[in-house]
Amino acid sequence: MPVYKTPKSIIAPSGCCGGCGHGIIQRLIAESIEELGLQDQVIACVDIACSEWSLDCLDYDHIAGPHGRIASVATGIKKVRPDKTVYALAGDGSSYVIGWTETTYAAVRDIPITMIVVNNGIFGMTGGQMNLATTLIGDKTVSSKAGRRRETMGHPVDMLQAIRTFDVEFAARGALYDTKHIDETKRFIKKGFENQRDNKGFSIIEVLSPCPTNWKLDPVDAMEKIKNENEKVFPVGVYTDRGGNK
Amino acid sequence: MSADYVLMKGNEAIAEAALRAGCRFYAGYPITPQSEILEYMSVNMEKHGGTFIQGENEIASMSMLFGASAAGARVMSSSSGPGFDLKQEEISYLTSNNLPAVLVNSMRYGTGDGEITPGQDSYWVSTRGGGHGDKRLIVLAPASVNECAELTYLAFDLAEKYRNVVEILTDGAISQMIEKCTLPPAKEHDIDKFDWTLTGKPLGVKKNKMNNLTNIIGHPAYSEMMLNKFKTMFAEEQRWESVETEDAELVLVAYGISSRVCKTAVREARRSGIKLGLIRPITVWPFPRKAFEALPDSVRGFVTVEMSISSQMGEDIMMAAKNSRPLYGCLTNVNIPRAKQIIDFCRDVLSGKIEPMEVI
Amino acid sequence: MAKAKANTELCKGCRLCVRACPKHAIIPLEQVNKNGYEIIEVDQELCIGCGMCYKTCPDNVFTVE
Repeated sequence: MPVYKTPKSIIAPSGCCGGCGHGIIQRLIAESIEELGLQDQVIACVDIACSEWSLDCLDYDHIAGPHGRIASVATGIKKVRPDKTVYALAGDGSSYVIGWTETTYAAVRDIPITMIVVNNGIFGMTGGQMNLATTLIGDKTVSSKAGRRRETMGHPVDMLQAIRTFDVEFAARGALYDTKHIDETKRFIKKGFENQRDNKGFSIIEVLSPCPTNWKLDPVDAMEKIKNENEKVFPVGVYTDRGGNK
Repeated sequence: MSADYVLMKGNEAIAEAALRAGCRFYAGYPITPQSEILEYMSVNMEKHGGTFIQGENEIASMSMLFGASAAGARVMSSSSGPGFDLKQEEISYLTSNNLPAVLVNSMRYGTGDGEITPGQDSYWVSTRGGGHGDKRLIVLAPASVNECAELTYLAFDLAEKYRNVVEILTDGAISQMIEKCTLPPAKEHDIDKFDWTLTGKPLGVKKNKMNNLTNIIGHPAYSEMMLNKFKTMFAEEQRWESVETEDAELVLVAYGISSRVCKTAVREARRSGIKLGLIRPITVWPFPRKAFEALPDSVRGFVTVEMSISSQMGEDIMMAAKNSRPLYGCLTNVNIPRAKQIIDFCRDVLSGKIEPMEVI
Repeated sequence: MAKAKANTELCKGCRLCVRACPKHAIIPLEQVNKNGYEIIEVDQELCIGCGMCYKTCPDNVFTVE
C-alpha cells in the first residue's frame, strides 16, 4: 500500500483560495523533484500573480520575475548555473499572452528548463479578467461581462500546438479535475524534471487548473467545468516528446 | 600591438573591459550605434566560458540578465535610444531586488526613432529613468575610448559594492571612434562569493527568496535601506574633471563627446584672452555638485554645452550651483558642437548679447 | 490497514476530497477551523487508505500511512 505524505519541500501552507489548483500543482512539483532526488539543488522561478504563492510554501531558492518574463529569467539562471534544477512556474496570462515571445524563444533556444504553465483561463490575481489565449468563447469574466465574443475579442488558442512545432524536448497538457488526471499531470511534470536532469532540452507542461474564486463557481463545479468545457478546447495529452516514452 | 595600449572602438573597449572585469553573461538586442558591443560579445564571450545571448527583444534580454545576476554572475547589456527605453521595466525590478548589473546606453539623437547619429538627449532617461518606483542609478559618462574601458571596469565593482544598477552613458561618437586604449588586467569573478545569490541549496538550509524586497523585509526597512544607499552613493561616488576653473570667467559644463570639444574650446579661447573653464561630469548621477563648491568669484556664469533641444543637464547645474550664477545654454541638438561655435557663444555671453537660459 | 488522517487546520473547505473519495468516507462538516473554513472528517470505518483525498487536496490536509 503506497504511503501518501506531504513532500518535505513543502514547508508552509499556500496563500491560495480554497479549491485553487495551484496548491495541487505545487505538490506535484515537490513530489516529482523529491522522487528524482533533486530537492537539494533547485532554483524556482515564479511569475508575478498567483504562481508567486509558492515562494513561501516551497523550500527552494526562489525568484519572482517581471510579469511574463519568467522563461527568460529561468534562461539566465540556467545559463549561469547549468548543473542546478531550474523550473519556471507561471500562469497562462504570463506565459501565453504578455510573455508569449519569451516563452516562444526559451522553447526555440531549447533551454533545458522545466516550465509549468497554469491554464485557468483567467487573470486570477488581478480579479478575473479575460485571458486572450485561454478564456473560452462565451465565458463571462469581469472584462467580458456578457461572455467572450469571437467577433470582438478573438478566440482561445492552443499554444501547445504552436510549441510542438518549435522542436522542443517535451510538451504536454494535464488536468486536475480527477485523480486519474492528477496522476497523469504528475507523470508529465516528473518527465519534465527527468529531461532536465538528463540535460535534454526545453520541457513545458501546461495544466488545466480551476480558479473557483474568479469563475464564481464552487470548487467542485469548477472541476466539472474543466472536464466538460475547457478540456474540449484544450485536449490533454503529450504534444511532443522528442526522446520518446521510456 | 603594443603591450601598453591597443587601438579600439569605444564600443569594443567597453565590451573587452567588461570581459576583463569578469562579466560572464551578456544579453542584448541590435540597435545602432551600440551594436558592436553585442557583436564583440558574440565573438568573445564563449572564449571566456561565459554566455552570450542575442535576445528576442530588450525586455527578454534584460529578464535573462535579471536571472543571471540573481544567480551570482557579473552581467551586462547594452542599447541605445528606443531600445534603452524598453529596458526600464527590468531596471526597476533589478533595483527592487537589490541586484547589480551594468548597462550601456550609447545615445543616439532624437525622440521616437530619432537619428542613428550621436546625441545627448537620453540624459534624463538615464539620470531620472529606470522605470517606475524610487531608484538611483550610478551613471558614468566616458569621454574617450580609454575611459570607456576604465569606467566599464569600475562599473562592475560599483554595481556589486552597492548592489545597484550602474550605467555607462556614452554616445554614438564616443562609441564609434577609434583611439588608443589601455586595457585593464583580466580578472575572474566567483559566482559563489555572495550569500544573497540563488545557488540551489539543500532542503533545510535557509533559502534566498528574491521578490520585491518590500515583500521580504517590509516597507519601513526597505525605505530606510534604499535611502541610505542612495545617499551614500550620492556622497561618495561623485566624479568629475575640472579644467582651468581657477580663474575662469565662464565655466563650461559638458560630458561625453561635447566635453572633448569644450576642452579644445577652453584652450583656444584662452589664446584670445577669453578665460573659459570646464567642469566635466564623469558621473552624471551622482551629479558632481562638489565640483561647483569653492569656485572663484571670477566666474560670472555657467554654459551647458549639450546635444539636446531644451537642455537636460541644466537643472542639475542650477542645483549644483545653487542659483549662484546665471546659466547659458549652448545647445547643438543633432550636431556635435564645434570649438569655434562654443567660443563665439561665450564671447556673446560675456558681451551681454545672449540672455541666460531659463531651465524648463 | 492504512487510513487517511486529516489536519483540518490546513483545510480551506473546498470539498474536492468529498468528491474524490470513492467510499464516501469524507464527511463535510459545518464546523470551522481557526481560519473560518468549514472542515471535513474522515470516517475511519469507511476509509480504505486509497489516497484519492491526498491527491486532490490543494492544501496538504491529508496523510495516508
